[in-house]
Amino acid sequence: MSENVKERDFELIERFTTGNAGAFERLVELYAARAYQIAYGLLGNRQDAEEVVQDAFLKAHKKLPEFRGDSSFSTWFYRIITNLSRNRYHWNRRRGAEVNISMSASFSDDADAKLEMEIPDKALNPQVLLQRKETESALERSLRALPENLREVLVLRHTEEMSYAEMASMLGCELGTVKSRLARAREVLRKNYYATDAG
Amino acid sequence: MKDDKRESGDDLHCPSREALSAYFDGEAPDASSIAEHLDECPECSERLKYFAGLAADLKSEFQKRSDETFTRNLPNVLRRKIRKNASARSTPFPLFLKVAAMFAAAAVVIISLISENPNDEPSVSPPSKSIDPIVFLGDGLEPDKGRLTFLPVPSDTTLFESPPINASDLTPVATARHTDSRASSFPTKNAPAENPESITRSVRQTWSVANLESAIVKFKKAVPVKAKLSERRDGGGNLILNVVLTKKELAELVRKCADAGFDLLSPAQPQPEQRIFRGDSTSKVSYTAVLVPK
Repeated sequence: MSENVKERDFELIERFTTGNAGAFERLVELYAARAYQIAYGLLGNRQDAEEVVQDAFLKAHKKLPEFRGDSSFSTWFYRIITNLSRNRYHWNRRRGAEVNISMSASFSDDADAKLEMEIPDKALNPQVLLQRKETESALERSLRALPENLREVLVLRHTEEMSYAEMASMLGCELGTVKSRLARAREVLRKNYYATDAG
Repeated sequence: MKDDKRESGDDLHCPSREALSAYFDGEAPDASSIAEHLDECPECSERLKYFAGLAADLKSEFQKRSDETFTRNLPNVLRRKIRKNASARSTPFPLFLKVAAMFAAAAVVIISLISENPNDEPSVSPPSKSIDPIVFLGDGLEPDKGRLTFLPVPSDTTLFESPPINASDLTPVATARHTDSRASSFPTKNAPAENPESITRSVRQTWSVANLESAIVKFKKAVPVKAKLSERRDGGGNLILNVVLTKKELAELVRKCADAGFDLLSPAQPQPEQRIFRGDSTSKVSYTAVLVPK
């Protein structure tokens, strides 16, 4: 991220904290689209993504006066998006609404790999599921089937082109973990998506 | 089990999947050796092509998902929600709490009436002799809550032992509607008579400091504990500190900074030597201090 962007964001934050509401609206305009792409990438459905983005901006509005500038605004804000998406994802899982269907994680012997189990979707009726299967692309399906931790790095890398260091700082993990997760995510997609649906 | 790090090609010198993936992202430390290897290894080159294809597919997938209607309407939606949240926070107390508050207030009034002795002089804590007090004159209509300024002072009360104050040294406080006997008692022999000044809602001041690192420590110590301080550096290595304070806290902070040896370069109020201010001492100010090394 360029220094100019950071400076611009700090300037807007400063104006917002001194009472200029328009400065916050400008931040919304600047970050809404990318925030939505990340949330959608992580959650895989439009409605959840919209709600998470709204909640994230409301949270940012509330917490911006406490923003200390230790990281850039975008890193700070995308961390909110990621955390809210995680919460939403786990909440959905608990109620059985959205379930990752992935046995592919077992190919890796990495410690933080998760073995997802196929669980019948309880909240979505068969008609909705069928409709979804017709409308969503093969890549979208493959992405949804990725374990959460692999999907996160893939989405952040390919929507925001975040560096490994930025992702590590945002996700609260080691740089090496980011590196291995990203490599693994690509391998899983190669096996699942390109081997079956693509071409 | 086959070594995962050498799985990409049959040749044992193939870089690991992780290294190749990092190379694609421009994050591999040994990029030059991987580049050399790619010239000779079709399998690794193929994998790299796959990474590029996947990146393109993902990019178009994510762009396809963009929802312009949602992002265009988002500012309006947020504005409504923020307004709604704000009004929810300012919702009046439930009736039973109001009744309880009225009883409590009545009890306080009764107790104070019972305990009041009309012959007692009002107790006044004299301000420290070493520090000139900071005085706020309210908005000119209502006395500032908690200030000593508008308290009646008995004629024989001595606030300062020395020296006697000459009436000619004092500037009448023109903006205060009330008789302000205490305000006129505050000036000391070294301080010149002064007019009250106003502090704006947002104050930015630049300070010249001898040592930036020790100045930061001193500044943080001077800021009230409960206040939330944000700090960042600009491109020139200056430190920009922001904190929200009451006007009184700000006036005290500025004075402490001056006492710590900082040189104030900005004319904005409050100035360290200024003692009398217009306005409510409890109203909030966003204060930005720019610390510039000498």
